[in-house]
Amino acid sequence: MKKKGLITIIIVVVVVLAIYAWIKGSYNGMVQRQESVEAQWAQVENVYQRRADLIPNLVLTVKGYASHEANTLKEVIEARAKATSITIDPSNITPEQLTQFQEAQDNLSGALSRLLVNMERYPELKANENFMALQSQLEGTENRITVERQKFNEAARNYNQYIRMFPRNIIAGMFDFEKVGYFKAQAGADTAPKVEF
Amino acid sequence: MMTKHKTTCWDKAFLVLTGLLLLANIGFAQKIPARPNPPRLVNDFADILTDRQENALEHKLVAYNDSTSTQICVVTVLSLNGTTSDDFAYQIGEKWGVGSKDNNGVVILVKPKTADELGDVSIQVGYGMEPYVTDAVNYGIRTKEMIPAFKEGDYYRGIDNAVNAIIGLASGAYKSDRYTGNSDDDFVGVMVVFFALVFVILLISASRKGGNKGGNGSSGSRMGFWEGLFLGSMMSRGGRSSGSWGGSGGSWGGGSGGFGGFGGGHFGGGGGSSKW
Repeated sequence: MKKKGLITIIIVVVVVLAIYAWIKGSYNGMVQRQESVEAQWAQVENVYQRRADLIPNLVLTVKGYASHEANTLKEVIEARAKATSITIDPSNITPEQLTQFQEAQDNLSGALSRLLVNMERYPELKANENFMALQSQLEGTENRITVERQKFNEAARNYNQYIRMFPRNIIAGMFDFEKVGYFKAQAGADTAPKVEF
Repeated sequence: MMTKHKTTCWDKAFLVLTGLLLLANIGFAQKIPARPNPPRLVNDFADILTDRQENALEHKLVAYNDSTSTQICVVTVLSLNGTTSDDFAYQIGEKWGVGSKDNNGVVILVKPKTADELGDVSIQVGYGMEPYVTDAVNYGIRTKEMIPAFKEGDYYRGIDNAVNAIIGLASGAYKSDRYTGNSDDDFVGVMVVFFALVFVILLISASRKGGNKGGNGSSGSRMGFWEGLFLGSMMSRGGRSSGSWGGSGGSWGGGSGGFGGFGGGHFGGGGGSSKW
């Protein structure tokens, strides 16, 4: 009788330890992946911020040469204001929020590319050193945005796959690990302001 | 007869399937070329440089990598396989791992001008090089140093100009561990161990001579074991140290075979491209 009780206790302890080890491993794995998603999100915000920072300078330069472009410039300024007003809590990147963020940023991309296309009409502006430097910086920044978005999607996929697999999804549900969104390649998003020289 | 017919049918199906799989594989792998083995910094897939030019560039880039750990990788291709030159160069940088752990890699990609396609050049810089080769400077290098030479058909001069410009920009930014590391301390350590071992062996052999006078076979064999152990450990140390010295000698003196390999640098899309 005594012996039986001891065996039961041992079995219970072993089972509890095994469950603990499994939960711990899964939980820490989720935290790790979530951290890399957040780190990558910071990179995405960085490169978008970089673009937003270039715009005031670009607008100033263009204004001096192209007085007829008041409308296009206004569009860019407004799109920039809208895009920078949307921030996402990196610990809670839901698909809806990300779609909203992407829409605002893509809007800005569109306004910028329209502006740059119109600039083709101003040869003096195109010869301006400052404008050329800005254009190349803008081009580099668009490249960075593409790359960081790709990297974010990879990190997000890695995390989403991890938390959605059975039986880990039980733990994910217990601790509120939620699926994060992806950047979508939308019509127009892939045609970033193309700068031809 | 029946079975034979069946087999050939299956064989055909198998062949077709393998062929399809192979095609799919090639299609996938061909987006960017595989990392060169042995690793090289100059990869002239488009064959627009002469062997001498390639070696001169490789030599310069390997020497620069040796002294600064900064890796500038030159790649020429005939086709971008449907992507942009920026993306192509970025993929090479990220997948080959150009640059050290400081992410100080640069990829210079040149697609020569052909009868029906524009030439395309992209310079992508790793995260660690972005402060030194900024986008505006990058643009200047492409349009002022490279494209004028490319227009004259002188690919070597254009690439060499760009390499010189980047080397100038990043001078002093990074240092190689080879020179800043404690290789001198290692050398002193090896020498100390070596002389200590020689001393111990001399002692043992001396004591063995003394012990042999009244000793028996078993004590003699035990000495042999200890002697062998010490000798063995000395040999292994000697071997290790001479190996590392030989290694560095190889990359200092080596002409084109001196490049030690890519270091896993990461790229963030910094840089740009121009067509001509």
